Amino acid sequence: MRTLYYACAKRTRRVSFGTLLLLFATVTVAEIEPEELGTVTLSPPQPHWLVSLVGGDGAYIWDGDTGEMQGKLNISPYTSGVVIDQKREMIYVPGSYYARRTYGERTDVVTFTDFATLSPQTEVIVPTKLAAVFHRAVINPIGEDFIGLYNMTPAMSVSIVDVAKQVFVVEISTPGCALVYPASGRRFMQICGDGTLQLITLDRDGRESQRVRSAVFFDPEDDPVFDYAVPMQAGWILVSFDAQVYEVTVADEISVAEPWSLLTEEERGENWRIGGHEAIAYNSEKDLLLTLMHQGGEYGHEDPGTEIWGYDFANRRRGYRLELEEPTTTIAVSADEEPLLFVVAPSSRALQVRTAVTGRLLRTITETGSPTLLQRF
Amino acid sequence: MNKLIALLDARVNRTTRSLAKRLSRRGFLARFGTLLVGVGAFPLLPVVREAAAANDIPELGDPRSCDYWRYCGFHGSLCSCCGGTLTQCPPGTEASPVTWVGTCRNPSDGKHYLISYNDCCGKTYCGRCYCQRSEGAKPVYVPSKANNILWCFGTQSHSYHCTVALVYGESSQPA
Repeated sequence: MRTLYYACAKRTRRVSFGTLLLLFATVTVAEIEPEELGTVTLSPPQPHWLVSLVGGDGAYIWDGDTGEMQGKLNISPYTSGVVIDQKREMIYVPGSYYARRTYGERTDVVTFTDFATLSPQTEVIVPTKLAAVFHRAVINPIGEDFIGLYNMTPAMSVSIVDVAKQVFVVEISTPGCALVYPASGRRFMQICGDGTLQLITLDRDGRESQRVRSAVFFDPEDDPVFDYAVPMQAGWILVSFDAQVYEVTVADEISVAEPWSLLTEEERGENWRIGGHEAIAYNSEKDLLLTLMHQGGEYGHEDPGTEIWGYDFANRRRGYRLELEEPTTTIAVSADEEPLLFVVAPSSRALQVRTAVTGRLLRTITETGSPTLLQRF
Repeated sequence: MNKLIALLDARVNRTTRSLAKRLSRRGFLARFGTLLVGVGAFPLLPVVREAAAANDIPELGDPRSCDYWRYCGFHGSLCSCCGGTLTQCPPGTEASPVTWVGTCRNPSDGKHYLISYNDCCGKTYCGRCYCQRSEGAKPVYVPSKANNILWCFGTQSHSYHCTVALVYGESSQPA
């Protein structure tokens, strides 16, 4: 091939470059079967997959077992969580969009994205009230057929979308109570500014049928609970700024167990604190609670962690302490029996994959675009 | 409101440029709740009338530095670095009249002041002079003290650009 090219060039010095390429292509066609252009479809999701949201950019899907990127979801600049519906093989992406990017008519939608193609299939228009709160719990499933979207204008409410019928159902006013934490059945829980929890039940049509409130169990002024709660089998784990653990059981009513502390007096004396954006993670299969810890003063609840502490949750006993090379604000753990721990390494724009049980580093995924939120499958 | 801003800005223009100490904050302004949904009602609230008296505040520090005393509960980009000032939004942006609030101690007079953190909206994120102190900040279920929310409410667009810090009045309760 190279010989032919040079020979042509010698004979016709004024021949255009395009002509030469044409000759090249002609010869190539003759010798090699042309490759077929196509697009990959996504295989069924695996327990070690992870979604990482990069603010204003998109959401990446990673395989923690290989470190390979699987694909990317389109999101809006205001999207901070998605719902993965395994049954319908769909991902529900909430978003706010302006006609002219930053101005013009605003439209809020839930985009139904096909899992295999990662392409929009349909969308449901919702009230233009989606909360611009960078928090995973702004959207969550409620039962099998509904999702709830947290609104803030700053009046607080929740929009209900029927994903089976693909329609917006209703906006439920929730003054003083924030976010959407799914509970069993058609229920969702909220954390309220008066130190209580709220539980709202939907009827078959997705409209509110019952609303109950817990007793006051924490002081939002003196020791608020993190708004980042983690799910356990029959409810939720809430942790306060001062490392008090509240185990919340949710059925028809809400019950909160007596709190216990993640810190010993000695650790408290050394000023160890929980801090970060997604600073708590829990795997129910191993009953393993993970927290991001740092040493610092008051108001450090958003400060990055320098260590990860792993707890045997049922026995309220700490297992390992893992010192991090880079302080971070965001961790996540997979939900399976052999859980992986994902740690954002913000300075190097990487994502570490570790065994959750021991903290051992398995691999580092680079060029991840500095994720701000992680979401497990 | 414009007069108040003008007064405050004139005051700020006389600031000295030495490093402010990192300071503590104190408690809490009564929760905004749903009353603030009606943005037009905001100038009628008691907190704004109180602010009219806060027109002669001794200043110390650099409004382009995260250590500046008014930024004790700040989270975002400083508008002072984005074409705006401590109290004025950059050109082409729109100030959100609904805010989160901090209580910061002024090192010049030792007094505590209510600080309103107003987001400037309608352009993409400025990205300069990022500042996060979060002293006294609360989770999102206490919205009036939550700084992880885009506070571009009551504006044409809720695209966040940067944040200013206005004194609303003197606080009677220290940290």
